[in-house]
Amino acid sequence: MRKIVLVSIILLVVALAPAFSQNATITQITGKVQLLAPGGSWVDAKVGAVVSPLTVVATGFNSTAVLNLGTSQLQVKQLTRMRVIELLRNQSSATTALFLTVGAVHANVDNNLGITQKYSIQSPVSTAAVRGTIFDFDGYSCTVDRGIVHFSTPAGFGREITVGQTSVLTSPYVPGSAEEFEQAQSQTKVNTNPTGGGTTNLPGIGITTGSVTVTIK
Amino acid sequence: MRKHGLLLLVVATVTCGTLSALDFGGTIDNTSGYFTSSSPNYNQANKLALWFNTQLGPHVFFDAQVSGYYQNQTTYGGTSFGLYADLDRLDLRGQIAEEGANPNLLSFDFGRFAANDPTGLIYDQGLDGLRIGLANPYFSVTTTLGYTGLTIKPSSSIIMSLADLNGITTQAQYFGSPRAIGMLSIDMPGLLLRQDVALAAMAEVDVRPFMANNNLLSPGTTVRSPTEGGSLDSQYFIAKVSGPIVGSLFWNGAFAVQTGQMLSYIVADGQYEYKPILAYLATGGFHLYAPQLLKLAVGLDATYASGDRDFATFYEGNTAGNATAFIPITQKTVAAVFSPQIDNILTGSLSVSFKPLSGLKNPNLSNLQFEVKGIPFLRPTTGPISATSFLTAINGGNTQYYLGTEVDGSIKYRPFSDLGLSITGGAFIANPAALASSAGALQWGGKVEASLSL
Repeated sequence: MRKIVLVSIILLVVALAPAFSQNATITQITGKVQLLAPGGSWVDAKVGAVVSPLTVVATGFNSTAVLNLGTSQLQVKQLTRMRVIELLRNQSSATTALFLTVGAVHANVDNNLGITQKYSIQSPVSTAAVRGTIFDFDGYSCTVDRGIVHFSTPAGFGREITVGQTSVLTSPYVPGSAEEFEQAQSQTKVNTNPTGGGTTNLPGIGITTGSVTVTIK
Repeated sequence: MRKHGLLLLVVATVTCGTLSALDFGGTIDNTSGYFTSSSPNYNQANKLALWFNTQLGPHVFFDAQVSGYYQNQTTYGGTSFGLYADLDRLDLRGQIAEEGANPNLLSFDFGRFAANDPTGLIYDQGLDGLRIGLANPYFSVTTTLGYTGLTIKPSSSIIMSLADLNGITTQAQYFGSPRAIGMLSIDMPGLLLRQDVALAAMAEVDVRPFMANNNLLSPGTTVRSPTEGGSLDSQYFIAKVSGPIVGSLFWNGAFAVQTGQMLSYIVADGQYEYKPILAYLATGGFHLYAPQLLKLAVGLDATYASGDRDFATFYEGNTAGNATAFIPITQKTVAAVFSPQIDNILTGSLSVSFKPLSGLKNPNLSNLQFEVKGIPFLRPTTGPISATSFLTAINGGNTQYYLGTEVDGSIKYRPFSDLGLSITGGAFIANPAALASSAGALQWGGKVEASLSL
């Protein structure tokens, strides 16, 4: 009985362990990368620079930055503006929340740390939420290299995307299926009407508008 | 005059002020083809489409498209449809999202909008009516009610009965088959193992019995008419599952049951009687994509539509018992040369497509696409199929099940975003035993399509 109480107390302490805020650090830079801390002004980023929560990271043309977020790596691609919203960590879990205003990122979330990862990247039009995975995200599309990503609209309608698959936002309801994306990539669309109006069709011999043959059996 | 000018200015200002977003444009499409099996052999169709989209409010949009057509076909019973115009779309639509812990999305379409069933094989055409959808993160429910009788004949592909066929060949009739359509569908994206599940119940009602001078035959008529029939009402119950298997390999499978009633000349009774319809459709396929291998896509698909061996003719030909031939509402083109209706047909398709220049960084070259398809055709019963030309022998009591195989090839190219081009060629190699003696075993054809955005 004592053992059970002791284990329960330990589990309770672990569960209630205070989550502490973390900072991200820049580990790699190519080209022009700038940081905007809350209340501050734009400064050029350098390798080793600390990125505190609510700091905006911006990359220029042909420029990239790699951020170490403690329990994950994030490559910020060119012409991107994003904000680190929240980086929390306790003994059993890590919470990472990012907001992608414009551009694209490549995320590598390590799921071998023995902790629960609550990782989400939000954009004005969608959210990618993951637990241990590698993926690319630009707000409108999400491509998964490892693991599973829950890709959803701001209203909360979403679908799971797995390894090697891409989903694109095509409606305010559920993001498009992975096959819809593959089909669009592999097929050249001849119709140029942006609203999807069909092209003219010519009948083959089976399109029947002719006479009928009657046979009495 | 000044007052009129001022009024016009005020109206224009108010109108433009309320249109928070405005987008418009046009496209010109041309299709020119030569087919050994059609008459005339050379066909050409042109379409000029003008479209207009605007946002009327935070949640309300308005889409319209009007098209002018010119074609050389004379397949509408002598009615000249060489030059005509039609409304492709006139859609007042809205989407209202309620965000939060339990998000909902209410959507509606009112006017003329595109509609289709989950398989795309039973109904796939514009519809005049109302569609209302309600979605939450787990499923969406959509209700559609509409009418098909305001679509002009060349734009309508509904030929389910002899009355529909008579409408096509009647000079005075300008519009397509008059049918009321209702559909209730439930979509559950990613329901289990990331598979999308769709369930639908659909009904079509022939409204001719409610019209005066409908020229429909009455039950009990003892004199058989080869050109007149009754009304045909049917219901469809559809289930479809689709999703990934592993990586870039996907599958889909659908099953539909058709019920309803059809006027049938029952030979044993010597009179016309309404008989129940009980028919089936099954379709499915596997699709593999390898974008790293020249955007390779391989598809293997199959479709089965039940038939009825006691049908004497393709339209309303039931002569005994229930009518078991599956009758879709709209027609679907499944091959370039030989394209029978999805009725008393078992067909498959093996397709391979790739983009040989996809490795180039130049987007104007990388989208060049080649595609080859092999499409065998069989019929599940010795009942008639919809092809009327050189396969007439089949509908005259031939007992062959294998009809033939078609091989199609196409090249598609989009040199610019505003210009799309394609060349399609096909050859249908018929089963010689299924042919009329005067017909050739090989039918072929080809067409060129061009689409230019203005």
